[in-house]
Amino acid sequence: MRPFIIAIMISNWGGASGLAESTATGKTHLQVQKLFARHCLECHGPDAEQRQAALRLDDKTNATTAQDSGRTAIVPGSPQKSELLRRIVAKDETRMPPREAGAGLSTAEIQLVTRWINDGAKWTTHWAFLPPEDHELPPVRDSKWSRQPLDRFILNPIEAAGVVPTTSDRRTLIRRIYIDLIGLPPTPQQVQDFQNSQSPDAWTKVIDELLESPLYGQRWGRHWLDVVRYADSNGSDENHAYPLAWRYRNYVIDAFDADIPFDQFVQEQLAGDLLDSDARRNEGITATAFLAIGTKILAEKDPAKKQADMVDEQIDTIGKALLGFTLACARCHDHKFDPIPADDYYALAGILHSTRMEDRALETDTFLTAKMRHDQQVTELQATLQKLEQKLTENGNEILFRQAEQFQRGNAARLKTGYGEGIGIISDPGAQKTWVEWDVAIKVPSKYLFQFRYAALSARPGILSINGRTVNETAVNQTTGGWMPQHQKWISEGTFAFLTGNNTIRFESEPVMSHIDSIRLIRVGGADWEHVLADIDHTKTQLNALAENAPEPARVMAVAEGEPHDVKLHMRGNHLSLGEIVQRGFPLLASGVDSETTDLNHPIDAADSGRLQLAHWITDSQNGAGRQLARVIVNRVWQWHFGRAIVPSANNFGLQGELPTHPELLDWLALRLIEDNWSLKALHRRILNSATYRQRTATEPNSLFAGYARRRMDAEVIRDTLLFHAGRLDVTSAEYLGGVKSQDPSPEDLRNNEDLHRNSDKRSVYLPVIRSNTYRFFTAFDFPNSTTSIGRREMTTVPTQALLMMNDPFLMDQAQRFAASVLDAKSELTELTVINEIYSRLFNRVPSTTEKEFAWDFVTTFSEAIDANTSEQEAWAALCHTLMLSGEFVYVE
Amino acid sequence: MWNRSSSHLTRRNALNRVALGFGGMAFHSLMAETSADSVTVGGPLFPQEPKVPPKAKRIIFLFMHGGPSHIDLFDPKPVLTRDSGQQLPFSGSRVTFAQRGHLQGSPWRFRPCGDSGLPMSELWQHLPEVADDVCMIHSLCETNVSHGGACMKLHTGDEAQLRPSVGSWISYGLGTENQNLPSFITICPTSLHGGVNNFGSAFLPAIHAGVALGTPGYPNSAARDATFESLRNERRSPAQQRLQLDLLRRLHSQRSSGDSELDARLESFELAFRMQTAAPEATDMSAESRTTQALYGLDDPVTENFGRECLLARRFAERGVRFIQVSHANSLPFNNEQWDQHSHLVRGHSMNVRQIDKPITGLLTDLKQRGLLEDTLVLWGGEFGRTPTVQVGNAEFGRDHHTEGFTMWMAGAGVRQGFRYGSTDEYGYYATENRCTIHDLHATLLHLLGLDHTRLTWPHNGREFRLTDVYGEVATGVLA
Repeated sequence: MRPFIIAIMISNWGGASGLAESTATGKTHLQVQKLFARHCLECHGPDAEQRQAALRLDDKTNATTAQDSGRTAIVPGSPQKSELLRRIVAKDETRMPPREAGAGLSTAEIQLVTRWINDGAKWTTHWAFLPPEDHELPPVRDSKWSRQPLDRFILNPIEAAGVVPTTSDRRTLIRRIYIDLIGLPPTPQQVQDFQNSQSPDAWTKVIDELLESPLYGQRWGRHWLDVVRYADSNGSDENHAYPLAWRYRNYVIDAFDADIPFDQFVQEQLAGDLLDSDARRNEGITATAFLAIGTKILAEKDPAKKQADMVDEQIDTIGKALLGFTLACARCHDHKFDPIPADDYYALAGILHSTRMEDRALETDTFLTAKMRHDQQVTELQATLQKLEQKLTENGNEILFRQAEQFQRGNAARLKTGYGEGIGIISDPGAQKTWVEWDVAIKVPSKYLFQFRYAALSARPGILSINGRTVNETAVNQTTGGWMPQHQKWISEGTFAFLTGNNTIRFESEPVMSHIDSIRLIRVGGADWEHVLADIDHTKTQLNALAENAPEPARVMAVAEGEPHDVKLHMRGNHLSLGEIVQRGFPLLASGVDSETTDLNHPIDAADSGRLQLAHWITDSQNGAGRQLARVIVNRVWQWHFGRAIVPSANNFGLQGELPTHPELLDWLALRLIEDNWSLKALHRRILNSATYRQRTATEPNSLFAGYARRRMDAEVIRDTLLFHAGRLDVTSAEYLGGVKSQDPSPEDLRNNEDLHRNSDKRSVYLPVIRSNTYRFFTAFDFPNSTTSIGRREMTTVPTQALLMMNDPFLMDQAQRFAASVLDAKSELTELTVINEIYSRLFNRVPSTTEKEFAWDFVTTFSEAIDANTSEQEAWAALCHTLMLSGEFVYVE
Repeated sequence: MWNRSSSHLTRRNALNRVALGFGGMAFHSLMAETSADSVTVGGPLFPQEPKVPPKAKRIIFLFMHGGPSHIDLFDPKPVLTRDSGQQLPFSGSRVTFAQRGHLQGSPWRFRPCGDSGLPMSELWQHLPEVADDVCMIHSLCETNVSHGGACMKLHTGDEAQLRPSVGSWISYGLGTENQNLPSFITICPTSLHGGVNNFGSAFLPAIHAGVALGTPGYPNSAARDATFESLRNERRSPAQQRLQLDLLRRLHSQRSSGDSELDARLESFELAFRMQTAAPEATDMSAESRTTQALYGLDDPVTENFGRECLLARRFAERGVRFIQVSHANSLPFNNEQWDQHSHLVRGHSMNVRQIDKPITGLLTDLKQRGLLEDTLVLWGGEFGRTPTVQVGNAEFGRDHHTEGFTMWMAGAGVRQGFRYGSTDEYGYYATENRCTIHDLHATLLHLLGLDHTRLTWPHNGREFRLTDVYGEVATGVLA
């Protein structure tokens, strides 16, 4: 049918109104851009390397100028003269896109392009690359419905579509806002209070209460954790646990509760360790885990590639989470669709290559107090020691001490790690004859007691000689209980004569040598030397014990400044094929501001990684990406409230993303957020107080936001709600619940993992997220695997969910507990009151007469007809279980 | 393009998406490129006719975890034997897993097998019986040198990022012929080296993810004990569950009947209930004759486990499951070394071959007898091969991971029989003739199923993704 299209189009030109909405606004071009991105830009777009025939359909001048062939792709106002149109409808091999690239444009798409060209081919810059502008509130006919300014952006197109706006009943509203804001349903009492309240500000009060509840941070912090791909393990091949990641998770929850301004929240996550804020220094360091918690390919054998992959993962997250662009596409080539050159990628990569990932210490008050006490004890003991040593000398004795590894000659191995961790020891470098010689200068010729300090789990004796004469053939023949530093002991080898001047002490051991830490010579014969020596050793033991029990600061996953340097462009993303050096900087085009302004305001000093400047640039709403950042977050908040975002592709505002359904509203909200000092709670209030939020449940989900779209609860909300009804939910904060073996897990480990989740009553947000082994109940309900930033969770309905809900003991257990609690409370009442109570708690409503009949019928049949032994309580539990399977239970109206 | 934007998930699509099947929907645009809004008949797992006439309807992948040694099993190298003990005369690959030692000829003799004369080492006692069905590919190459990277590359096409696995792409592309069983089943998978990611659906709808028979683990579970998760209720009888579903239906009819989304949800419970019956039937071996059981080696403790996996694979294939993976991996009661013989090659490979030789031969024989081999493709292979050199530092000789050239084989639908495709150099080091990357392998598998690897796409992260990324060429030389 394709040959007819042009004819149809042309015949319609007279009355273009029949075809579609006006094209004068440039709105059509946004759709055309998207279509080009989908079909054409791979070869005719920003990426110079892949470009064919020098044609660019993302560039007005290029596309409307005659090519070498003499043909012009787009002749504004003239579809017939536009080569583009000829090519997209061609039936022969000249058709574009070429046959091997796919099916070509659909009829509707060809119509769109035709109409656009016919109307003069008006070009606009893709909306996301322009900074937000403020907009007048649009006019509306119904002046009473709106409750907030934002409602007019919604109402205007609703009225244009001829839809009458609605307002929901109070029961639906209270259930909606509870699940939305705190992730749990209201109690019957809370519902009743709200329904009965005569106060005009009853709704506002509910909003305030819920926003102040600590349950709010647990629910909304979790939303952010999706965006930042939070997990408690590395994932990928070598899937190691991240036992410190939880501090970042709790930081996020706390930040939402405290309504930390969103710009500050972002700054902390990029460079909290470098910010000038003593009050939030610990929070700042903790926040940088944002850059560290990603998946890393630990098994990668090539360190350069490994580093480049980690940086890529960080760029991908920064791009999607904060800017709404897929920056990582520019790793291998200029972005195929969006104006993001590979240079921009490597400018940002330079900042991250100049940043190290490492666990860092937090200097909390508790730690500082403990450390002060500890340091004091150490100082005191050191003073004691000094006195004792002085006493020894004063009494005419002398101790000559030498670290074993400070030997003059020998072939022993010096170990500073493992067996010599923190102290340094010597031992054999592998089975062989190992020898070592120390030169010791003696001032006073005398007999000296000679001692080794060593650790040995089994005896490894050797020969000790002094000045060439063997003095002990089985020296170092004791065992000390282990090979490690803590097993070291001073052991005497005998008293030997030493001469004035240089003395050579030699020890050889074959085939292996004990772990020798130090040697000492004690001139003997003075007064009381044995006691003093014993006191010295005792004091040293105390000091060692103190050192071992030194207070440890809390540690967090974090980043720190590394070696600041620019990196070279990696040709086609290959770290082995390098191009020009790219100066550290920001992905400017993604910010909507021009580069000169940015460079002047956020210069990166040669001595800095540029991370702090990145944090300031990305939140700077005048000369940085701040307005883009505001757009991205208000879009997300809207999505989390309504189930659908204004730009549905919340992580991709680029040409391959979806177009905003309400661009003016998006910009308006973004600018209000900035005015509200980036307060997310202020944004919540604008939205929750709106008439838009208070609409009746939509019968058909739609992009007008006419009606509130029903949606299934998130996985965590389902689990938390089940525990809540069972009376078991524990909402107190938690650390790493741990115990999960993520590397090489056996079936047993996996069962333990499952049990840890299944047996825990903790709120879901506190359960560890083990990448690749995410809790089965969660994954069944579309909890993400958290390997990349998640902009929008899938919402699937698959039989695996049904199987899980029907058969998983977890659900049946909660149903049983819930039923028991209802029956306990209602033991003297009739079965119909029990059914009422069940409905009131589970669904926040009164059951209909028919529903009651069905339920009672079920209970009697279940307990009597099936199995004489089935108790009534079990039948009630089965009823509750069945109601928990129902759509009404898991959907938010 | 054969794709589907997740953004235009309409209510009607939502219904289709849940209406049928464990697996997912082979989406409508796969069927008819012009009618973007047409309704898929029957939903996500509705069996789809591919656009290219298919040779194979399903795949059984016999996965040899750890990396079997091509030069000791299928790719004889007399020059390597001659030069045994000398150094590799050219520079090997830049990145290796361990330190490279001297050349080491195979300790096993090779002989030509079947009418085709396909060479197999003397380790194989049974496989020669079906040599004339096998199409060797000697020129696999270009994968990651670590198990994790290589396993993920083999299973998903990417060694590092999370991508949909081959089976889930195929489920997406073709749906399944049996709505009461998953479209993609992996029997006794390991939790190592990519683990569940090796059969995950990543950004494809979850319905296309592989369903594990047996808990993935290390060691992986014994086939005898393997079950599907959540397919049984320990506390309630089917009759009691029927009552529950009836109540759900009655309540639904009162409140939300006619709401397509909730209708579909209710239907998913009915389907789940039907699957509870279908799955145990499919895994019940008691219906298999003693002769059949013996054919797979179920009567011998050495071959019993892998034999059982192979027999399960045949039962699933018969029932229309689209992609079935059978793993020979770390299953401790039977084998604690898989194929990863860095040392003790002789002991390890002898044991491994003994465990799989009879079961695989039995599987091919049985498939052929039942006419199933005509439309079933069997693929055998590991994540890489092993070096022609020894690994330094091991007393009992073994070989390191080798990614520059190694062997896999196919048998059955659409491939040449008793044929050797591609080759490695005289030491078995580099793939020389008809080099076949993992992307090429994937392109070939899809082609045999009637799918064009360049057109089976899914929008994600701002672009259309494919199993073969931007690479892959069909190895036309293996096609019958």
